[in-house]
Amino acid sequence: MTDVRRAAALAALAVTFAAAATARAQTQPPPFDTPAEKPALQRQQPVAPPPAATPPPAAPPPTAPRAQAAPPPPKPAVQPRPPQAQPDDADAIDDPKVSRRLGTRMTVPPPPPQPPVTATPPPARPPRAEVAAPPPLPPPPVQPIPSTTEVETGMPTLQRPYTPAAEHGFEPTLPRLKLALRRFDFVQIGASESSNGVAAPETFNSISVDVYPVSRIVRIGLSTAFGWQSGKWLAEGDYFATQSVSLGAQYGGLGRFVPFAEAFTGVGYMRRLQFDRTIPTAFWQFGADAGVEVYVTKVGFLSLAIGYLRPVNGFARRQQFTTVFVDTWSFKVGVGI
Amino acid sequence: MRAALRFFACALAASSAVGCGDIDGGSAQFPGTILYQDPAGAFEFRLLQPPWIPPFIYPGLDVTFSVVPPPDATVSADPTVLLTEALYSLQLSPVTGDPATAMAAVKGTIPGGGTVPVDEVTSADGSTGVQMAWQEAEAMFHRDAFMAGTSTSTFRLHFTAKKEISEDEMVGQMISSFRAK
Repeated sequence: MTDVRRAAALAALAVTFAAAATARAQTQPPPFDTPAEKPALQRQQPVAPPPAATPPPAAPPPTAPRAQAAPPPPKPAVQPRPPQAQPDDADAIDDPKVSRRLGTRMTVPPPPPQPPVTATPPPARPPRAEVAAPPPLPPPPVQPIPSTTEVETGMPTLQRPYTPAAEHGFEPTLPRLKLALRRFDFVQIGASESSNGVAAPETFNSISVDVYPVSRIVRIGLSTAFGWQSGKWLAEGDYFATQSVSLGAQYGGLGRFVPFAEAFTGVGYMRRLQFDRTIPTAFWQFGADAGVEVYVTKVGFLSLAIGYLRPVNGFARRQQFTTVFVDTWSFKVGVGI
Repeated sequence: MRAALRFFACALAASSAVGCGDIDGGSAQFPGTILYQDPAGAFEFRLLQPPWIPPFIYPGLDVTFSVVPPPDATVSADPTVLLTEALYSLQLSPVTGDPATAMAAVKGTIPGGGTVPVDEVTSADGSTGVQMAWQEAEAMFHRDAFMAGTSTSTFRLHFTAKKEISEDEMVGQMISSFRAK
């Protein structure tokens, strides 16, 4: 008895829920994104699109009763629109005023699907195991893209091992301009530190600007230099200025190192300070340098050179022109382009 | 390039024409100096000339003078004027006694002379002596050397300058080149 009552109660409750759902479905409008159910006849008769130049006369929205009562007017003679611009009845605007103002909604079709990139299908994935946090899979190996010719002809493509292009060696721009500092020893005329009468040494530093108008395997340079007595201010020491010319050779085939050798000669003026009196004298020099330009960039280099130098100082001794020279080493460093 | 070669050749030729130098300054004694010899033959020494003027003996005084005049020196035959204006001056005269005795006599006349250091000196030809340097006034410095050769008279070389000359190598070269005969 109890079971029968329970079954009856459950049946009544089910009937009640079913009736309520049916009533709700009949009273509520369809969802917005769900196309409205329309008769099959209306769906099969697409609405003629408005002409491009002259929009069609305002036609009432195709509703089911009107469609059944009066068929749509015949299509005007207009050019057909592209197929992707064909409107759908579901996109028609119900309000005639809004429809006249805005026209018919157009649906842009999606782009055509891209052809598959690889001819070989990806390997079938193994069934995933139900794990809490699966580790990320390593990227699949890159498959070579078969050429269309290979695919079409079925002929294998010749494969050659990749050989990178040989790198060009460092080709420096041979020297054109150099700023250099030279150091050499001379003698101080009229001074002696010892009782044997040998002249006291006098060290000169000179800074020069060297220009090489010809700079190939043979290089010709013009050097303008100014030198001063080391450790003395200009007002308290000797100084000189010279203009020299050099002729040498260099080899630019060793990459960043450009060895060179050159001979030079120059003439100039030397101020001698003797007993606080300025004595103008002549100065000239002969020399030869051997060194190397070390390129830090393609056009910038450091220069190191060692050389032989014979500076000569000519002056008036009483009424006779006298020259004093020394044979010495010189060191020269510089930077250039 | 041709012009540069010509320029290089001309520069080389010009330098060669002038010469590669007469005196090797690395080995020669007192290069570039003038040898002055006493007319009486008592001594000789070397000096740069210029800037030193040729030594001279003032009449009536047994002193040989030489000076380095300033660029704007007054032309005068008065040795006092010359010595007053000179940047450097040298007075060379014979003295009595050996170098040490002669120096002691002079040292006694110098204010504070007892504290003046004395150094021995030897010239290039072997003459020996002593020297000292002191400051007399703000711009007046002295350096004296007393030199004598073997069986020769003693000579006093008295230098005066407007700056410190106790370590002056050019003054030292004149002392080193002195030779008593």
